[in-house]
Amino acid sequence: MPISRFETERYQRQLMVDGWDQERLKRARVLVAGAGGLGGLSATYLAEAGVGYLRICDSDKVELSNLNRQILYTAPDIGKPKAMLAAKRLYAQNPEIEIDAVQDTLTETNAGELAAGCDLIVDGLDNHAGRLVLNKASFDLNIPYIYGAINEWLGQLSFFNPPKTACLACLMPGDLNAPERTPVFGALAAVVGSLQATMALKYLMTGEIPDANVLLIFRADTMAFEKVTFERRPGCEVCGKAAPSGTRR
Amino acid sequence: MTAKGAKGATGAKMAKRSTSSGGLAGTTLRIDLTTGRIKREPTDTKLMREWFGGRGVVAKILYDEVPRDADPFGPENLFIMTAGVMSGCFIPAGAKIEFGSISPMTNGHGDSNMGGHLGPALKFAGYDTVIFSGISPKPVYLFIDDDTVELRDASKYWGMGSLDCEPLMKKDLGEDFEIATIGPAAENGVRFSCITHDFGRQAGRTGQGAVMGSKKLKAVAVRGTGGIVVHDLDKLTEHVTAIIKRTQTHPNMAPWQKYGTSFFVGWSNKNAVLPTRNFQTTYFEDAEAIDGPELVEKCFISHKACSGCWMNCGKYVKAEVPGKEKVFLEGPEYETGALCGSNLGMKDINHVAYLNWLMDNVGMDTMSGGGVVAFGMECFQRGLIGTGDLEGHTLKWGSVEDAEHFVDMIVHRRGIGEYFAGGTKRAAEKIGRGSEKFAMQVKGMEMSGYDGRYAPGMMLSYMTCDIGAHHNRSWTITVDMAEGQDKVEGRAKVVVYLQHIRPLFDCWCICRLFWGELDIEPEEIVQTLNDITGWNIDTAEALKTSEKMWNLVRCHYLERNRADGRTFDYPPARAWEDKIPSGPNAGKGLTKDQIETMLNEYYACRGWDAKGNPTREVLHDLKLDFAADAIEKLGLLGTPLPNGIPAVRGERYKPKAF
Amino acid sequence: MTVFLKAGGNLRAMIKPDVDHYTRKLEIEGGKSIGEILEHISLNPAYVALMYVDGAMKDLSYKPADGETITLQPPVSGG
Repeated sequence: MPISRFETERYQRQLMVDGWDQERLKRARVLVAGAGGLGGLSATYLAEAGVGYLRICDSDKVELSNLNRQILYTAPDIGKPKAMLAAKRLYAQNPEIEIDAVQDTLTETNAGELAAGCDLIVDGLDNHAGRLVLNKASFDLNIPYIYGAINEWLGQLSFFNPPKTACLACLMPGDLNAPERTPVFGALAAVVGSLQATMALKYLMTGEIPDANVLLIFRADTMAFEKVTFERRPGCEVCGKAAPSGTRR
Repeated sequence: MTAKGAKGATGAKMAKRSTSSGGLAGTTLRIDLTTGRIKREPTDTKLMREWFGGRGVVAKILYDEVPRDADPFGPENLFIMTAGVMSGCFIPAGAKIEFGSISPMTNGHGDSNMGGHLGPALKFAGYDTVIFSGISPKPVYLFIDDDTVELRDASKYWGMGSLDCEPLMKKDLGEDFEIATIGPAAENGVRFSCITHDFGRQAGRTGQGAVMGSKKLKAVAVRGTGGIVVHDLDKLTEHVTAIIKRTQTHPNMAPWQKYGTSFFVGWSNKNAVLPTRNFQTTYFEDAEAIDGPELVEKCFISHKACSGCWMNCGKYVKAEVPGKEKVFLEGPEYETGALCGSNLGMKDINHVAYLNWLMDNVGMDTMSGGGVVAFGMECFQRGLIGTGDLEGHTLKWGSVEDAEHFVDMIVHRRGIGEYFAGGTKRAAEKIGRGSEKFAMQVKGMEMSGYDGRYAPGMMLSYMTCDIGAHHNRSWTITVDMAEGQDKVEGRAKVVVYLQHIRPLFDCWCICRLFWGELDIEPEEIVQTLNDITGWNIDTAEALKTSEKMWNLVRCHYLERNRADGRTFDYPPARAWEDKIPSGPNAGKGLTKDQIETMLNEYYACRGWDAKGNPTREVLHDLKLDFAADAIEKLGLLGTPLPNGIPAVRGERYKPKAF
Repeated sequence: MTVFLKAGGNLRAMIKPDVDHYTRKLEIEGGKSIGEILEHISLNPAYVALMYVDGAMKDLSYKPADGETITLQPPVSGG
């Protein structure tokens, strides 16, 4: 898709980045599941970078307690549904791209439809059960899924694309016994969200998995990044039966 | 008086349809374009009675059946064509056909109608309403020949201009078929595309053509030979004959017949409300060169009329521009004369007529088209776009060549044409740099041909019209002239009244130019309606039903666009930031405070809260509790008014027939 | 032999760190698995979402060598 003169000026700085492929970004379609602390931020940077199509899904309404970390909303938005608001804010940021808002809860039944036609799923959820649903849809539809999560001073993310990589259920198949209100603050959400967006952009422009089978952990308590490698779990309920080449028995 | 369709006068067979009664033909068609399935149902007379037909049933069907997140260009949007109860009953100016769908311009209820002969033909063929859903896998056209209803392959016609396509289809099918087509603009998804019929009648506003194009529906071809049964033919004949005789000598009749509305250009200019160079100013030095008398003198070939109307306001003309082929078209009527004339700085009636022909043939609304080109010209004037964006061309005021090339870029969505294909609102969002201020639109649809800065009622009308900045719901220019252009207070209740009475014409499918501009009382119109339908309603009930439609459409808009109504009711900042710089009204203008005052007064008049959201009290009074429940779930139900709602919303006003 | 446990989040307090803010030093018999080590310090494995040693993911059956640090990751699921 040809880039207009206005887009060339808008993306001027990133066009100078080695290996940047703006036309490929323009053709890309991404589902951002959740428009809160993580999703709001990653969606913002994907939008600003010019990803051609974003589908933003969120079932919530804005609450005051969101505003310590969710950059897309302000106090006058309290009580309003998030998805459409997020789409409007992102469009104002970059009207060159197309954005769809889906105000709906992610379930096993609709996950496939939500991800349909997308090249990538970016995690913006706030619960592990939802992430497992996304993970399954990712495997069923063969759409890569950039997992991301935060808690207190810890953040972690990984690029899942089973069977080329392990999937989330290989690592954490069950419910995580996490408290209902997770302690989180904005700056950490921004670190993980930005890393997710960066990973997404790299993948969308090259088609290559940025860092396979690696959990990237940021420990804000010690200001340290750690990389932890893992492998596919042979007994995994989601991707265990798939051969490494991607064929399913 | 002969009219196409019913061939009684020439001795051909005219069957009285067994299904027809009370002005209705009796059958509704539901067509799924995805599968090609065509279903016939008896017309829902209860729906017609409750919602009056035309715009009213369009509003209710869209509200009931289109999912709130449906893409206007997607398969879930419906495209509705309906001829209304009065169309085809041989009353004067009673030949309209109404189209409706979710508008790709405003993302809300959209409807637009046209005169000509298609409405009566549809009724004579036996159908009141056709509802299209889905998307056809290949280009098709709807073929109706009395009882035969088919979707036929349109690949031969796909890509043709509307004015080229219609004659070819008439040649292929028969001269007595009534044809409506879309052009390449609609095929390419230009949001402000229109539908064209009878060579020069358009359903222009809200992008109905674009929706047709998204469904790969190229055209509609209808031949009908049946009759329509009315409730009381004797009374109808007596009443209408009296009206005809009386209005024959009305002072407005002669100018309408001679010039159509084209002479309004001079009137608007004299009153300094003529949009000039993208509404930068309101007086055009060269208005005389593009006025009605000039049109009639330089371009006129013959008059044209709609079915059963001798006002023949249509003007069939030629346009001759040196270096270009001579072209033939119907028009320009006032809006085109203003928005493609003074609004583009055009100084030659042939240039205006040429642009009219160009836009008619590519199939774009000349009103939005004029607004979009004007916006482009102002961007060029201000250096926001340059020749590098325009394939080496300029986009200068008054240049018909520049305008033609720009239109071509838009139709084919080349380069920056892509931005403008979405209308001025979307173009301004992408160009930025303050251009939003002079994107002359509200809710995503471009402004009609009157500048509202010294006509507060007109400005309020643009702000609060349901489909965007259109004049037709409440045309208040003469109210502003009569009641004082400096005064904003007191205008709202008249706007509300007009927003109730005028859309009734869109429900009943009759034309305002006759029924609204010749001192015919609303009671007489209602009487005519009762003679046709047997509904036995009075003016108060008619107005209340119209108010019900207005509120339903508002609720639908809020549900789809998910924000307080007031958010969408502002004009572009030019309305209050730029005083009129020149001409007789130099120095005049509105302030932001006055804009806010008008909105506050308007909402109070309507029984809506200060955020522009309908309250439960007014919705309950209109039996729209279901709509109240729906917007309440989204947090958009209006806060109850401390002093309650007015008992009657809108104050009756008789605009001076100018 | 000596092994070190490291944890963040709500696990930090549970391992009762003594070396620094995040680390607990343990003297244990050789050949013990992580699962047995957690039992030894009365830490319910349900609170541990992931565990890793030297940048490689492990599970409860892993038997650490002398001097290794086992990092225990609590549930991280917010957004």
